[in-house]
Amino acid sequence: MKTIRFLPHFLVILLVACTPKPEAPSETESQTDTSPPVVESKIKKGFLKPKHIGDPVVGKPWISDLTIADLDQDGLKDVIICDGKANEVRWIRQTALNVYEEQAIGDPVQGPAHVEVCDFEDDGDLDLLVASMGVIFPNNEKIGAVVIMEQTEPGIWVNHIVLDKVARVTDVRAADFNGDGLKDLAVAQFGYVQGEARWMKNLGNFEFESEILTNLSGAIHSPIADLNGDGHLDITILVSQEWEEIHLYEGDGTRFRKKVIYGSTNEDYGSSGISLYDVDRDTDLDILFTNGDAFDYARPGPRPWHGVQWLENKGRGFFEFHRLGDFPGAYSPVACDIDGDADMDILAVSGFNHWENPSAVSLICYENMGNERFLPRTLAHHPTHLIVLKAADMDDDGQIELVTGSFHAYPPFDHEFARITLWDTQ
Amino acid sequence: MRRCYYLTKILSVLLLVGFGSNCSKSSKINVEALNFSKINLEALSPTVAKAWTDYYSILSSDRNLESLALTAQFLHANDLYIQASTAYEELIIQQPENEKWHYLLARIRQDYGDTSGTLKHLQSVLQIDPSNAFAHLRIADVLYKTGVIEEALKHYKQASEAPLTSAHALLGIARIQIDENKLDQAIDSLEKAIKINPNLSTAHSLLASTYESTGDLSSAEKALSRAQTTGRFLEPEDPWLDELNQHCFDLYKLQVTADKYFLAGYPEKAIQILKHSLSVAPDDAQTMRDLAFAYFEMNQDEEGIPLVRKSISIEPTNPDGYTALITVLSEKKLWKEANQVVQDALKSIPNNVDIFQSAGIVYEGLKDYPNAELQYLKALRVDPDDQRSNLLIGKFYFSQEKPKTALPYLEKSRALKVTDSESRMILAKYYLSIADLRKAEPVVEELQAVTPTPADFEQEVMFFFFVQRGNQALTAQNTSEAERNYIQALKIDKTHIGARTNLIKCYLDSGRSKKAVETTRLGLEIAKKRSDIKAEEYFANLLRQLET
Repeated sequence: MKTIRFLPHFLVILLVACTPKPEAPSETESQTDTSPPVVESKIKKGFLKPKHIGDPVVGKPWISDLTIADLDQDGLKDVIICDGKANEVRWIRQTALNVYEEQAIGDPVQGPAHVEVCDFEDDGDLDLLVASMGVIFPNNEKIGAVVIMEQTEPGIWVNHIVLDKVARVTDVRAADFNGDGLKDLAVAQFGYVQGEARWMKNLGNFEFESEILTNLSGAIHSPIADLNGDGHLDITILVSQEWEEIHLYEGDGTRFRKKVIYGSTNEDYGSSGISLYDVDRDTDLDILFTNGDAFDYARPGPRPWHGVQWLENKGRGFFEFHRLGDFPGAYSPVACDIDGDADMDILAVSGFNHWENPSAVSLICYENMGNERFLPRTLAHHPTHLIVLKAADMDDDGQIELVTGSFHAYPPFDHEFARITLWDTQ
Repeated sequence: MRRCYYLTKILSVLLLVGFGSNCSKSSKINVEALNFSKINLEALSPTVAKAWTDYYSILSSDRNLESLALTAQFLHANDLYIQASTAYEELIIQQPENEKWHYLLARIRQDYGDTSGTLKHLQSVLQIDPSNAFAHLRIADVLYKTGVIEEALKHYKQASEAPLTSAHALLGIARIQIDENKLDQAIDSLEKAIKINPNLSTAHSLLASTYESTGDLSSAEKALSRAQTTGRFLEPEDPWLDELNQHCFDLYKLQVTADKYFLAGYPEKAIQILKHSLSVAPDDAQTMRDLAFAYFEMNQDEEGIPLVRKSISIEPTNPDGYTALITVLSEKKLWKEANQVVQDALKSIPNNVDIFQSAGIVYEGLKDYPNAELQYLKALRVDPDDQRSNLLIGKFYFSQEKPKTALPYLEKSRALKVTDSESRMILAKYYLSIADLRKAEPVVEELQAVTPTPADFEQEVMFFFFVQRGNQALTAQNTSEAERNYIQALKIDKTHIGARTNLIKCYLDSGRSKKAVETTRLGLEIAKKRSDIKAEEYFANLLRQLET
């Protein structure tokens, strides 16, 4: 009797040990499991050296998004940020190697939630796409807008509001969906009670025609890529709120067909970030996503299911779910080869952790130990309240640096506040 | 002492859940093999750690299925999901025919977003009880979210036949109908769902969007206004999940659960959870405040006030208790009592924006205006960019008839918060009163976009706005522009003599005497209907003059 009772456990252990990609949920990481990973890590303690860049910290900064690009095309990468407190898009320009200076660009944008760099007009200089929420915190007013900041002359950007008085806009990306040579837009609108996602056909001269993709509230991101491999661009929409779904809008060059490719039935899942990378380097793009949002709780805090996962692209619009691990308050997933071993590691930051506990993690790496077997490595405990992370070789030394943004909108407020942190690899 | 309390609590839970009917009592549990001793007590909150010691001690001594079942639910309820999964798996081995353990394990998989794991365990539930409506609903949701639509629809239909799950199942059916562009059917499903569960916020918002898609904007608007009052989405009442709350000793989790119930329109349930929380930690000031705030929201101030007072005595440096208490007392116009709280607060927390703001309000209530001004200025000194501080001092100066002093603060409040209707209302009224249309126009436009503005106020402001614009056009001898604006103003207030007289003047100036007479006659009729003697006399005289 006893043998039979424990046989299934033995089988489970055996199966787990033989499976190259552990089935979700990963049961190796939790707040109560402190056993050290068996395999030696290439990520050594203290290999990231954080330093503040940009304007000094004043008050409690709200950095809602950032991106990395050589905006003035001078050969040095810059950081462009959305400052939710100042209601501005700001440019932290690398004026000389490792020397950063910050300035506002364009006219103010209310509740900037996302900034994207692209040569929108194909005229050789870089413009900015900005998602404006109107206000960052919950609101059902139609106060959202899409702003294109056109670089009219070197270092001068002029705002074009191409969509306004709509449900709060959280993301805008550009690509030529219909092959007419003009960049169209994919727009996510969180709204609140009501929201939507749309694509906007470019008619030229900053005029657009909108087509609604979904009427659901809570759309937070709208990355673009040909995910089903049919040669046409698709739009991926991450829908949070109580829906907690990933929609793939499969494009055929003229219109889009909706397909729900993943969804959690936990209405409190807290979808918080999505990005597209070829995680397993099989030449198609996979979907990396985090769930760690807790903005709608009276006292925002972590939940046990918060974590990082990826959807492996199996081709033709089919995906397989893999949980990487628990990570309280997980946000902003990024894949990059942080340890230089020629495979993709996964990094994420935490917006909502047990900050009163000094061991709460704010920056984590899921180190790829080979064949997409990932093990968690703590990279940092400070700064806290991080909701955005980007990776790039900022100083052209062949190693990847990280840049994070802090969002100190909720307690505890007894920590040292940070704003923009550059993490240099040693 | 506390240990005894927890043991009593556990035993009461045991009686409450009526455990035993479905249990095999023969086998002894190999507790050591379950590896619970690996739980890191330091990583747990103090209340959970203490309770765990008791649960584990019962399990270790009894080693039976009853105590394992309690332990499993404790682990689940307190977010120790990995250990809870192990316990449920053991219970499933011991009691494979008890659907509850399959169901609860499915819920853990679901929380992690593991759709295949969720499906597997829910299918086991249906094998045991094919009529389990919760399992049908959950399976349907998972299938919908993984694109298996036809199968999802079958399960939604099954779930729609059970009272507890029917509203949510109809919501799922409506989503499929929307995807298939069967909008009329979707509207029907959503209306039915709302009839069953009027608190189902998502059904209201989806209904609004669906009506919008059909072009029925008036129904969309009604649905949206209902959606805005229903709060947040909540899954259907689930007896097994409810039972877990009894095993929860995590104060933060209990607070989140209570908050969810509150926002979803179930305040009594929220209070029940918070009471349980307070029984877990009778001296926890935060829990006292949470419960007090819930009572205040329910207008049960007499229950809330002693709690918040006690929280202040335990945590005298936390501003939340003071500000809540001051607000409640101020609303009752108990200014002296409120002032006593203000004085205590200022002593304990000498430099807090919220306390200064509350103090200012109380001094205003006491008509001690110099002190009120001083407190508002102190709040601004701490944080010049605090929107509420700017609004409060702006309103204060306005009430003191110092509009020029008030304006910069109100303008700052307007700039700091795009949805601040209060500052915009005062500014709009003021700019219109001094006939500064250039400044009034953008404020009025913003005000129209902000829905919390009271409808009657918006009407009043809009009326003056059109009248002022009409007057300005009349002065500039732009009769047609003036006429357009007076007509708009009269749509809001048909009986206004000045606006109607000026409209009549526009008609006369442009040589349309017939129209002038008609308008005067209309004014006279409206005045008679409303028994407005003054207006009746005025229009009767005017009509006589025009006719002669």
